[in-house]
Amino acid sequence: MRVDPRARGAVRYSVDADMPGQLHAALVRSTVAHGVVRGIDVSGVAPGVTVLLPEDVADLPLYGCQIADQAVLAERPRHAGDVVAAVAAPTPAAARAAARAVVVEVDELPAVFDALDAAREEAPLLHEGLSVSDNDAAYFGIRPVAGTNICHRFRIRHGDVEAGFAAADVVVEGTFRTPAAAHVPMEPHATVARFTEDGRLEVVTGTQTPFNMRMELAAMFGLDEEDVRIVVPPMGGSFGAKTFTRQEGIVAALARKTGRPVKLVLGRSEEFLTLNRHPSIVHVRLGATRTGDLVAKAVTCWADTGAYADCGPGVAQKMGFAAPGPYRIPNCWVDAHAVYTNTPPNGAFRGYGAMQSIWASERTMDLLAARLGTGPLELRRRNLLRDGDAYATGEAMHGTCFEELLDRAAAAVGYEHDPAGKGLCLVMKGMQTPSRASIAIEREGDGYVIRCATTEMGQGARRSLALLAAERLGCRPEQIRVPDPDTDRVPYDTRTTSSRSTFMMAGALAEACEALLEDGRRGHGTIVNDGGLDPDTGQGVASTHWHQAAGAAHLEVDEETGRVRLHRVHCAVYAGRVVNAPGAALQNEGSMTMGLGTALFESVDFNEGQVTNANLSDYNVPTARDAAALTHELVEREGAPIHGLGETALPPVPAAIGNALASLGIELYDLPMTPERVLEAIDRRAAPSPEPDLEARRR
Amino acid sequence: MQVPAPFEYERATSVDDAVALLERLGPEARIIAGGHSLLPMMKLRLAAPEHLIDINDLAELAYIREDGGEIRIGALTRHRELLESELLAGLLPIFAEAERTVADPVVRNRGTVGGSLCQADPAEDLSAVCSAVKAQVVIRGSGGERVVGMGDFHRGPYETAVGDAEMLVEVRVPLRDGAGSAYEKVERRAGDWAIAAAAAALWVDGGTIADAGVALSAVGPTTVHATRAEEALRGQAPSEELFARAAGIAAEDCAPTADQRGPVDYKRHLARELTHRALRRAAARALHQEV
Ligand SMILES: Cc1cc2nc3c(=O)[nH]c(=O)nc-3n(C[C@H](O)[C@H](O)[C@H](O)COP(=O)(O)OP(=O)(O)OC[C@H]3O[C@@H](n4cnc5c(N)ncnc54)[C@H](O)[C@@H]3O)c2cc1C
Repeated sequence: MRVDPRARGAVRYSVDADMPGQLHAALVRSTVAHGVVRGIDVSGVAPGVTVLLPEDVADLPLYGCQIADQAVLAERPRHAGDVVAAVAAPTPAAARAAARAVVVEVDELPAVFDALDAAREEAPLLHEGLSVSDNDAAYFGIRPVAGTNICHRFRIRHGDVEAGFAAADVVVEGTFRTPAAAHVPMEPHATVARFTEDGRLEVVTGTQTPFNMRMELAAMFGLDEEDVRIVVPPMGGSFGAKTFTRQEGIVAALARKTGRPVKLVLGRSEEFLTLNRHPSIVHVRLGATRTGDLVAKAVTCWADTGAYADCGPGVAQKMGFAAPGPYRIPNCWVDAHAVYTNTPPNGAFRGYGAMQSIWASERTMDLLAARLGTGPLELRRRNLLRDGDAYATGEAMHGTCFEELLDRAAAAVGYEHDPAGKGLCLVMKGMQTPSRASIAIEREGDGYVIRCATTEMGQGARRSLALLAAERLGCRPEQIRVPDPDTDRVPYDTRTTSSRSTFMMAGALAEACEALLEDGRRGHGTIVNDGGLDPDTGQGVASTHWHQAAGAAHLEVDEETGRVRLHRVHCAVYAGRVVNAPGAALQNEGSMTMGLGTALFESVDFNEGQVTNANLSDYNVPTARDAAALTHELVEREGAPIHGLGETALPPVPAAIGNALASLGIELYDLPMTPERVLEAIDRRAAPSPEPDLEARRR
Repeated sequence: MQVPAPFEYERATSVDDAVALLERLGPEARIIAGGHSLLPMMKLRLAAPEHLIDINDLAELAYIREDGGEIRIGALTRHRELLESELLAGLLPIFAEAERTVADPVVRNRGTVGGSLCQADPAEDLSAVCSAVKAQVVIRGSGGERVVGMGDFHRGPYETAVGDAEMLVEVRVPLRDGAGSAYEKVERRAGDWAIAAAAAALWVDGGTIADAGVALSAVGPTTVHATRAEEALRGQAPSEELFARAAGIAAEDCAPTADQRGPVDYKRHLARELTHRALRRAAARALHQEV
């Protein structure tokens, strides 16, 4: 019997990577949310331990994948948990003890913790003067607002929104909030790095972005990109947590100072200080005619990017261009902002901003349906985008499947039979555009080896590539080896994000296989998807094609305790073509389980900037028993291109559940929908509707 | 990384041996049963015992039996055994009802009643159950055994009547006629600790409540023994109105604090609602009216 290597403990993950003679690192973190380091006392540190101090990295420039705003060590910590020093010692235990013995003295500065507060003129500034990165993650026009904490603002201007609202018979609005969330990969961040004798930097690390990291580390250490080598073993999960440069710069700087390889593995509580999901505040105003035709939509998004921008500008932009939703709306106006606050940085997270904006927009659709007296299913059907329709970005829609997805999701919960306790949600999510993917394939013994930068994080990328290549080459998938990505050996690829890899790499691989069959020994293929949006008007091509899904929920509520009991949550996800059926099913399952956590349980909580639940007892991810009500299906179409599905089934879950509650008159605006919030909403049901919260609208 | 501080390890071969080890090794020695509370505390360095005395070999402490008008439960009885016991299901259904909500099968296969009671976590489920059914616990030291009621057992948060060189060996639940019991809990996700929970037991004799037990989890610094609510119930005829009044008293007498699991008002609201529901169901069972 062939036992999966994961079940045999045979996979060497990033945490298992070692280099001979390595030292072990631990980090010294700021306990204050904003301040200036006055002094660092290392007198208590045991002999034989190297301490990396700000003066050791004074020569290293600021880094950041989209905005260069982060120092390798923070002389001015901007969040509780910011790394101010690091140690390297012979054992992990000695390193931890040494890190505890370092005493940091910090003068506190005023801090700000909420995106709306931070966007005010009088708010304390986190960064004075921002410079856009020289990195291909900064591929779109980044628009920092000078003299504020806003590090990017993105706009869509489509039609005439004022005229649209003037023509509307009915206008609804609401403000929706989502909290910070943790990715909770089983494997924490792990890196080992060394400088070789000939001055090259070698880094073995868990990352979804090897080439972005190569660019960043090369710039950081003044090396040519070719003199930085990034090797990526399989990761024990990532979900966006391991994107761009995280602890790698610190580990490399320690290796430089000690002249030895250095390894760092973060602890569970440190994961909550490293990268989280953007908290959001989204205000939606939506207008329709009496007959239920959408005529105008105005959305303001605030994405709290924490102490450093990371890819927050990109997340805010995606939040912005997901905001119109999969509907024909002639007049759209969107302002999306990424804002600094004194909290840990927020970055890529399965869904990449789409969930936050879909939560707000899809809940608003049901507010509108209620006001119109139309069914939520009917309202969606009436307005959904079809092939040839123009999206709010001006691009023409193609390959749309919304109606079928909606019908399937609705049928799964018997929506048309009786909509009480049931809710729907439609999802349209972009894929990284523009981008580039290259791949090489070579003969090896009686099989082949694929050289490819796509990283494996449990999503089954290697399996999908082997299946695709075997199909092209007429061999068994087992004859194809897909080794760990190594930037010395694999051709360039943008990154393993955005559910793009199966689609993009399949295109490149087809070309590579053809070339190989011709050459007999090796073949190379490249594919590019062009596009992009004007950040000031939001016009252009947001996405080469769209990830599409519909969700439906059926539940009941204990009206005295606020507890929600799910009967079923179903997602229908468009796959175009399924490459690896078990892998695809697992992606849906995993996405929905994370969506369920987002809907009902998960929030990284803060008190004055300090995380108060940085452990898995207080931070609640769903358990198997909670996930029992989740079901899903994949929709294929003859001849259709592969559509990625690493994230698509996450965003439908919260809004489908929220709308199922709304069908009972229980209107939730904030995630997660905890029992006490549900109970509050039950109490509100009896009261006259309150004034809408307009704080978040156009500032 | 979550690694406990270094410790020495001993395996007890009998209850006497365990007690002797406790006496010899002093206050820095701790018994380990299922380890599902102690090990997490050690990993978080909230506990750093110098010696662990493992009692998992003491099969003589793992039993559930009826004896002399009492149910006797050995300290090493696992959650799973409480959940699956047919004897308990017939006489004290509150145990299985509470156990269904405790953690997950992995924890239930290992965690013990003795460990649960001795951990004395204010959110712990079995403490409330044992309080409501008026259990007594048997504590053994080198000088012999003593029997303590649940009211005297909890001394403070994570503090019990078990002394440094003593261990809990048995839980005794008196069996009386006309009994009904029920457990109600609201947790955030499946298997999580309670946001709030209520345990109720009633003994009904000829149409009046002869005795009542009410205790709550997660709404005070220790398990809350709602003695004023019990007094209000005693000697009265069971009714919705009475249960509502008793539940109101129980809610007044608890002292929840705000935390990750919920705000104070919500927990107090749950204390009332869950006490009411538990009383209602306990009465239905006592009167054989359960639907
Ligand atoms: C993920 C998870 C979820 C959980 N959820 C819940 C829940 O929802 N509800 C709930 O009630 N509990 C919950 N628990 C706790 C679980 O029930 C534990 O098993 C129980 O609290 C302790 O039992 P134990 O046998 O593991 O004790 P241990 O961890 O071995 O010991 C706990 C303490 O009791 C002492 N001790 C143990 N036995 C004796 C004895 N015979 N005499 C004297 N002292 C003794 C130990 O020295 C220690 O101080 C959860 C635990 C986990 C890990």
